[in-house]
Amino acid sequence: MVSAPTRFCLLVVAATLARSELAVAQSDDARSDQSAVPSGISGAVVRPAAPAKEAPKKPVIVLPELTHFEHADYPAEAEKSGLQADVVLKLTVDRDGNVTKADVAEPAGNGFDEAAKAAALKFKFKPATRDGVPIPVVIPYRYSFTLTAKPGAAVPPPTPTTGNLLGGVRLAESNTPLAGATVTITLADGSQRQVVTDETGSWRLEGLPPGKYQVRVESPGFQAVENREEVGVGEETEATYRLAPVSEGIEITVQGERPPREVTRRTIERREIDRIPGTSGDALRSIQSLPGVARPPGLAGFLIVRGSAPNDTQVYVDGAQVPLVYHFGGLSSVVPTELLEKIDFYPGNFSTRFGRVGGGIVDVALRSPDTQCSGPYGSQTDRKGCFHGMAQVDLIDGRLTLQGPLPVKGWTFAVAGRRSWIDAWLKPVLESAGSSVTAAPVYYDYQLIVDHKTSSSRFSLRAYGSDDKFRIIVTDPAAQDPAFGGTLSFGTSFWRAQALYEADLSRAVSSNSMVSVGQDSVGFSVGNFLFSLDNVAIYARHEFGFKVASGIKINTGLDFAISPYEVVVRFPQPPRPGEPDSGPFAARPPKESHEKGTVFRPAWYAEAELQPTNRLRVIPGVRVDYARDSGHTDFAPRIVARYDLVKGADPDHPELQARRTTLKGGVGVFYQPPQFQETNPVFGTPGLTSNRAIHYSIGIEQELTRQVDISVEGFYKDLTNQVSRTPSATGYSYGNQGLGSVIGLEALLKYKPSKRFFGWIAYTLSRSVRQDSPASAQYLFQYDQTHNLIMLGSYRLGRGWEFGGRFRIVSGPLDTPVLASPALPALYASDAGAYTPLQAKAFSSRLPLFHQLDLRIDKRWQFKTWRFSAYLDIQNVYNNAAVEGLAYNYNYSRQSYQTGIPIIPSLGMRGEF
Amino acid sequence: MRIVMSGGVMRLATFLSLFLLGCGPDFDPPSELHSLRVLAVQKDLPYAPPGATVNLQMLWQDASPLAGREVQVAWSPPCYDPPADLYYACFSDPNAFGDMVAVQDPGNPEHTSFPVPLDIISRRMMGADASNNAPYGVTYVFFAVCAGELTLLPPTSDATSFPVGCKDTTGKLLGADDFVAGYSSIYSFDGISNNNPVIKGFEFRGQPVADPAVCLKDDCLPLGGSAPAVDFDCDDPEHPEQSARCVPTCADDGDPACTGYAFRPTIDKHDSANQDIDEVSAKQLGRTVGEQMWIDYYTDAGGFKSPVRLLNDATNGWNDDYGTEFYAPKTPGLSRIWAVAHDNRGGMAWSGITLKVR
Repeated sequence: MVSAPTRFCLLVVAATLARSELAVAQSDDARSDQSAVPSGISGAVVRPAAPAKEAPKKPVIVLPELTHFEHADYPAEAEKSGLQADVVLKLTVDRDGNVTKADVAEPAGNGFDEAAKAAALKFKFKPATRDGVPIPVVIPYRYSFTLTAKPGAAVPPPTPTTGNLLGGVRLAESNTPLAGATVTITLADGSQRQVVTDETGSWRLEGLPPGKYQVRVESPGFQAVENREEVGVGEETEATYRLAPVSEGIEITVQGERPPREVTRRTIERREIDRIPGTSGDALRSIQSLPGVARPPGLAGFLIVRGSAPNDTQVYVDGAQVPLVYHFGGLSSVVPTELLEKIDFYPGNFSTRFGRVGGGIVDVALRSPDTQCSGPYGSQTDRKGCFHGMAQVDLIDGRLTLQGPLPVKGWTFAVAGRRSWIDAWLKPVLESAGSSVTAAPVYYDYQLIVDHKTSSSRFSLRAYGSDDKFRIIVTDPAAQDPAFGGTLSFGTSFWRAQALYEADLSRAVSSNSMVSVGQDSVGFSVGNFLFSLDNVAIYARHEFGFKVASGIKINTGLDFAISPYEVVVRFPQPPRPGEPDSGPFAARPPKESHEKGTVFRPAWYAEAELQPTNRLRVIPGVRVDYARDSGHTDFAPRIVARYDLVKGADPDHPELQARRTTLKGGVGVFYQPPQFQETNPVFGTPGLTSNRAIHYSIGIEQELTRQVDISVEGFYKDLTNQVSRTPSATGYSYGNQGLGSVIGLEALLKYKPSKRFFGWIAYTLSRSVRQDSPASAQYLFQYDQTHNLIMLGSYRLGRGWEFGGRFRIVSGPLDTPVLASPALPALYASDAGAYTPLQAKAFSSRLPLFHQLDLRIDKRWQFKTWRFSAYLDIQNVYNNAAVEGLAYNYNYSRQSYQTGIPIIPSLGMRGEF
Repeated sequence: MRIVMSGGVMRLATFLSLFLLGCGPDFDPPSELHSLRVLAVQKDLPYAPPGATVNLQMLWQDASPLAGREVQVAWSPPCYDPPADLYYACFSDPNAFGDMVAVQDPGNPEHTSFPVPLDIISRRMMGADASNNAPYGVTYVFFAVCAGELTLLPPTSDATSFPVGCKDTTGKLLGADDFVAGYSSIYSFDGISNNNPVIKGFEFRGQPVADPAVCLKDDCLPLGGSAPAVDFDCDDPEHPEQSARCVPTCADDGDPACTGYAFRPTIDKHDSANQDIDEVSAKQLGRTVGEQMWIDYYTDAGGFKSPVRLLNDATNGWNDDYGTEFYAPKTPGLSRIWAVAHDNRGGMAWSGITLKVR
């Protein structure tokens, strides 16, 4: 079949005029200038004076016009194969309109090029002109070869040469279409094409040459998505993208080991806190999943840090001490997670900013109120001044939060409250166990924050508090000790009113102040025994930071604790950990102490942040504490250093790219004043000095990939001057002759939170021992835990689903066994009508290994103006009967394991806007 | 001020944490007697002034299948004012227990007495302190009930190891089911005394149990020790009241699934002995404080709904509902019930009855 080009394209987008032809034309113009007139005697040519200069006229150029088209012979093989093609030629057209040269600019192959060239050389043009004068030109020309059907036969559709790319954009959580998202593709030549999704979230790009394209989808407030898509000839490639909101709100930072001005940063985002299984989203419980923190017994809320007693670790809220961290010793923490900005956790070797404890520090900071405005479906905007609220319920309590702007410009507020309802279901349980319930266990807490921020300062007022109480009458006293019968009441409450001010006074000077006033009340009574503490708690702290020179900054501050108190205690003298059981309390006359006084403990500290090179950072410091109640002054020097062996993007180690390697270490002295009962004239011995600990630590941090870090740290604590006691004729005589040590290794392999996943593996190996005096035998510390391995992770499945798990393997708890047969295991204390155990060496028996799996699943639904989420958190999924202690029969002749929590599902729901 | 939870409060927190959520085994309750047991040791002077002589009387029971065997009962010499009031500090001189092994009162082995030294308080050099804690002295008397022969044990490194053992005829040391040792502590204050609770009788199924079916204190001796229970006729026409103490067997053998038969010792809350003021606490608090009192129930066949009941709460006062319910065993026979009333200052009293299960 003979084909003829049915169409041709004359491509004259940019006329290319060879500089030489144009130059020739110009020179021709010069030679043809006839305006000179010969005159004068000498034969000079007198030219008329040059006319006054005027704007040069633009030449009028007319492109060549094809007058004769030559049909090319269709390449036979190509015709048989049904191929079509375009050949782009460069044609040189002379002044007569003849094509003197044809070059192939874009070949098509398959014989098309030769055929097009041969035909083009026979074209005839009306020549191009400039100001009416014919000129030679070079022009591009596209010669198309197209197959046509025989007359009468069906015309095959034209063979497509391009493809289309289309699809949709939706919200990741709810699968709702997202309008207004921008889809950008990058072509092979680097150019881009863009399209915006319509109201149905759909988009379409047509006429794309075949090949692979980088596609980027983005929308304000959402995390951008990129992918590579392939377009085929004549095909439509469909792709749907799902965007997730940018992680919002507060970042809870749990920082380990280093002083606050320079810490080993173990960042746990809010997302991690909310999702760690087994913690019900409690931020402070998440600390128990870090290395260096031992597992407490049962659900107790103790923090056992690096082999230290729970009493040796102090929790602060914005620098003010709080008497209790958890409601009823372990149910939930007294400050809800959603009001936390960060948690700084220092397991040891902390800054001179903190003192009066020898173990660890947990410093909780309340957040600034959130007034960031959200767009539809939770997308973030740059606007501020909006309100946010939240309501949450689970099996234990319910809570409400509201935050937003105040009418006065620059001021914001947040208010929150929580109340438990365990009283609703626990009351019948207690009554069936033989108790008359006067006040079922109930707790509540409340928080109010008012903030004002400028570019260089921040002022914040806070008020928060907590209250726990229950009161029952136990009409069936415990057979093991009938002293635990009758009226049993427990109550704790505290409140704080705080003011904080932070400001950059100049480029080199910063100031940080905190004042807190509050009240604590703790009461516990059973039968005719009681413990009651009421005190006013006043804390004040002020710190200045001075940047003295480049690489030198000095921080210095004052830290006051003032507390008028009244304590009443009526109890028989209890045994201390490590001492044999002294018998039931039931028939022992109580000792009473009624003490009033004022604790006054000022401290001064100073610290220098030295950075002699960009790799080395050294922080020496000193803290001086005075305690008026004991009359002693404690002087505590400390030093911490970090050295970046390999900095990120180190030119000396290009093969490591951005894999930072940091060595770190520190040594410091830490003092902890004796406890109240140790210096009390009735129960203890006045005049004791502070317990002392020297912390040593050395470690390494290594970035393995951008997402994965590993840190390994060894620590040693030398405990001296520890308060201990010996029996005496009049009771007990206390002294500072106790000793101890803790040695251990912590490792943390962490996958930093990405779009889909976060997780870590934490392992601690440690040994903690004590000695009551240099001459006495050493024994394992009560909470010693040789091995502690935690593996946890959480994965976003998409569409609002997230699934997580935590698995723990921990050395079993220590126990003090009774004497083994044939020795008697117990004596009958006839006055109490109960047996008292005769015990072997303290903490000489370790119970079986603990292991437990917790799982959690979350689902979130994002609606246009609000969000709903629900979770199911199952503790102890495979119902492992973990041994928490030993249970004995009435005369201790038989024993059995006491197991911990069974499988416990916990369901929670939250709505927020 | 840092609030540091005392050891006791910390133990309570851990105890509650485990109690509320933990699971433990089901051992036999201490109220069900299946072995050699000491139920009570009463002192005629629960608070004994310096210079007084204190008499102690023991109630014990051999509820083992071998009841009727020979049992040795012995007392130690008194141990005065051990350091820090620790009973096990008395073990530091194990030779002091030699008399416990050697000396017995064949006539009334369940009884002993000792003198309280005149300087029992002053020797401790404890003066009254600002918190009004009255100075005191304390005496420990140890006892042993052995279904074999008592023997002095060699010293060990364990500070709490009791220095006396009980061996059988082959010389093998017997365990806790055949050998019971314990102690009674007697406090001495200047001018502060204490009375034992007073039990006047017994009620069973709401009806008073007539004398002589009720044993009170010494009268229980025939019903204690190795003496078998005294049988009676439920259908005796001359004593129709005895039928009230007859109950049918229960296939669930003393379980709460059985029918419960209410009973209680008769304790008059208006009796002055039962309304003692805890003078030590009163002096400390500056106000009247009652005693903490409770009742331990025991049986050698069957079970109870609540084996320990509150009798008087120092804060809330008297608990009228101090009784409990008896669940019959599955085997017919005689079943004895004892009620031992305690106060929190070493005072106690007991009473008991015999039931017939058929």
